[in-house]
Amino acid sequence: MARPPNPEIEALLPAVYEELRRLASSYLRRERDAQSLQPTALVHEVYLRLLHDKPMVFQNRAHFCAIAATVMRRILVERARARHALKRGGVAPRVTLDESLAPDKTAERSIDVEALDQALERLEAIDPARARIVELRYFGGLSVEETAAELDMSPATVKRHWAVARAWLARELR
Amino acid sequence: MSDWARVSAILERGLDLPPAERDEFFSREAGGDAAMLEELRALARSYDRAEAAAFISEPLAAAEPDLVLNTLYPGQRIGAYEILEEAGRGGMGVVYRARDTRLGRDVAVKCVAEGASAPQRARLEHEARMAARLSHPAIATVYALEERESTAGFGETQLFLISEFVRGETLRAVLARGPLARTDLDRYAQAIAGGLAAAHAEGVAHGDLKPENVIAGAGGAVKILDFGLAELRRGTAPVAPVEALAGTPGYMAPEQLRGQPPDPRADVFAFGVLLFEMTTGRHPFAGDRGAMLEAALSSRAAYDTPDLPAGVAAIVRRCLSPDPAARFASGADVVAALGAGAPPPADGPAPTARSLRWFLVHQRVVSALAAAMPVVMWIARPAFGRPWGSLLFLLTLAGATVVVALRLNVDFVAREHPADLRRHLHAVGRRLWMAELALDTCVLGSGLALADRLDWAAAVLFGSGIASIISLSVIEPATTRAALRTLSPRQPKQ
Repeated sequence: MARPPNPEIEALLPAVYEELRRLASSYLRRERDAQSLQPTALVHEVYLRLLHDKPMVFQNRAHFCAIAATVMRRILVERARARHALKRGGVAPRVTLDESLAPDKTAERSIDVEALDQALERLEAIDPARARIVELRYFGGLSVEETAAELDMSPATVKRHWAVARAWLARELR
Repeated sequence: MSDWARVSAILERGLDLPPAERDEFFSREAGGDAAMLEELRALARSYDRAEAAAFISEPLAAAEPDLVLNTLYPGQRIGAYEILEEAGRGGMGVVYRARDTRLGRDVAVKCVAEGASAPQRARLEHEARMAARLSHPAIATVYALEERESTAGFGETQLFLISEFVRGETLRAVLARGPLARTDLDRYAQAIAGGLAAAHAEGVAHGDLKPENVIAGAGGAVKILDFGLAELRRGTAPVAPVEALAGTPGYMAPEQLRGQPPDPRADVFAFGVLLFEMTTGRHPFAGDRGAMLEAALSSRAAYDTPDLPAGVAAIVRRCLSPDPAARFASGADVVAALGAGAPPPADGPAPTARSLRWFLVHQRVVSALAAAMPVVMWIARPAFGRPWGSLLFLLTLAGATVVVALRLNVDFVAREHPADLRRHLHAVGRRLWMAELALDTCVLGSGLALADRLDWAAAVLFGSGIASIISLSVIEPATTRAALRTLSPRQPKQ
């Protein structure tokens, strides 16, 4: 927590920050009610997380994205775990009335993030390349094209790999 | 795993084909390997399921934006406050435990996300102003409302509410372990009602009272949090409502559900739900959200249940009335009702000498009758033969002693401390009832056994037994009602 700041990382931060901001906005691009949630919140957190983690040097943009997606995965899984713990305690969320009358969207769409994370670890063991695509796309929020660029593949290959990874994970989480 | 390499390569090509052609393709590629064919088919089915359910089709942060609402990180400083850890998440923001480095104490820092919408910011400001009006041991004290430029730059500002940090757990966490013990129940109910009374006296209605918003402090303190939906009223007109319709289903009063802004009587309704939950460990409106809303609107609640003591039931019933006018008018009235002991004055005033007259007569007659039983048994003892006569006599003596002692005790309390009679009857009533029933059973049985052997004793015992049972089931409830001047002492009908 009170680790002395690493000058190398500090020097990199403005660039890291800009990059994460771009990455985070791709997260929320498709979100319907995103106006209340700007990418800066997530970006800011990733930035701080990187600041506090071990010294890292980003060799290039791809390297940075690789680390950023991993960090995001870790943050999101931790969050999901904390939220799950709260829900086990039975927290009744406060909602506006029309929200409460609508069918519970999150319940039907909601996914067990911890279980997915563990399944992804198992996939990493047998198929690191496809697991990486899931990490970049699902946790890192990259589009097919962005993922293809990062991994130096054709978008068509990314799509085919992605389909297989999804099938495998869906079977694991059944 | 070369196996997986082969399977995944075949699957990849198969998934590109129209579903109708897949199976044939898989069969051809798998050759004679039945296990591989089965795996390919299973994965293809999983793929179809994933497509249909849009499984992980959206990035996680977009699908579940609340996972990224958190904006502070342990170690980060906001002015003089150093963030220590996340302490909780509410509907609108995240609460952190932080250290006030100037004053050397822990505080709670509540913030809404960076770039939060204007209504969210307005609500936090509103909460701060509402809570700042109040000073009561059962209400978390607000220290400051701070605004600062976000560390992210871009000209955004972030709003923080700094308040008293209460180490402990939410009432929700306490309730997850089951109903509260009697002493805790009294303490919690008194504290929460007291906090509401203080708020209502200032014209503030909380508007979102629920177990998540009550903290049971480690030191025994009970505090109400989150005045984010509070309403300020001067006279009868609400001042500056933040949002037309918000709250928590299951705790909102019917009129609140119909869109009225919260007022003290809506808080009283929520308190009734809380009191029921604290007493029974269950929510009074069973079922899912829809059923809860419907139950609250019609007040079709399951609160008339045997596990609710009569006194609590009366308070709960009054709090949960669908008609606001039939509820306690404010927290102060609830405090008064709770203070009158478990059975509330709402159900009837303290007994007077006049109302106690027949009750006392009844106690003494029944005591005399019980005292006479062992005497008859002693005389009739030889007719039973050995050793039954002595055993039955001793049993009767024991039962009669317990009954007479408890009845004399009730008689004493009724004469000397009439205000405590209700509580006393609640405490000993059940034991007295069981002891007397046992005595009556013993006497009735003995009467039957003596028939044709010692008829006069059989008649006396049998008759007394019947009379005593009738007295227990019919006469005593009537004299008790008369003494307490209530409609019914136990489980009254709606």
